[in-house]
Amino acid sequence: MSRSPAPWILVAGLALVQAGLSWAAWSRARGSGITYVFTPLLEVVPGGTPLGAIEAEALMTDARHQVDARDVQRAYGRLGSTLSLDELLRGVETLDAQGRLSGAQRERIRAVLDGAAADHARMIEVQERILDLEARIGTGVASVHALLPDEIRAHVAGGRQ
Amino acid sequence: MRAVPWIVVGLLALSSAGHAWVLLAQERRFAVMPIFVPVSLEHERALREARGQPAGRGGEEAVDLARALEHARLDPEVAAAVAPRLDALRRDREALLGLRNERHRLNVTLMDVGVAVARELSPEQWDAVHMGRDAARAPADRDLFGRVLDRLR
Repeated sequence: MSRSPAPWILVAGLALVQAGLSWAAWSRARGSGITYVFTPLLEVVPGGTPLGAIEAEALMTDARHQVDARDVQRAYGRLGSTLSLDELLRGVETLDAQGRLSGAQRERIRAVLDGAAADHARMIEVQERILDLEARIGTGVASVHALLPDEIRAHVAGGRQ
Repeated sequence: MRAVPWIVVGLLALSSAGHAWVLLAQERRFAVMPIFVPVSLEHERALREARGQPAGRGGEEAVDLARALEHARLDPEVAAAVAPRLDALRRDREALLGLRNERHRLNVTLMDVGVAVARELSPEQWDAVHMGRDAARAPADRDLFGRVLDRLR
């Protein structure tokens, strides 16, 4: 039969564990804390929007309950409190012109932007190809419509509503 | 052995003080900050303006067409003419969806770039950037109004 440790050893051990946990929780709290982010839910379109009337209507009705990331992004695009990368960079440029950026900050920001240049160029390329394909699909659909007999064309048009 | 209870009491007291310290250190921070919009939105707007291409439905019209034709009875001649066009529409729609996925990935990457740049700024500099967003547009607007007014006078 093994001897159980004295109660005071258990109590001291547990107290030490508690102290360790306190230290860990304190370090974590100092590091991250809790941040609440508020954004004004204003129906303001910053700098205009590429959404057409049909898309905007669809966003406000059909997509109202969707939580796909792209829908959320579009919804954010309609909020008043948004900032584009262009606006951020213009702001940084203004700070730089006013001599409010340190040399180290300029270097680090330049490194970040250099690293993103390829992605930015690719974004423009992708966006152009998306518009090309959209236009081609529109033309293709119109060409199919032209081949269809009137009654089926009317059915197709009815199915879209 | 008499010292043991006092050691335990001391350790527990220390622990309790630690917990109280943690509670006091967990401040709640309230922040108002803008959300980065997808980079593609501005490019899309500019490209559509330059091309005179109105906002589309992302190729959704091809899906509507296919859905409507799913149970339609077509003459063999019409069906033979429609089939290759519909196949081309399918390929274009798939390619479009693939590109939209890539655009989404690039948007997220470029939002991270925005966060990385913002992280380099001090709180005061960051405030100056996002609080002065609209003010930064004022000189360009002033120039435009000035040019138009000069023409009108």
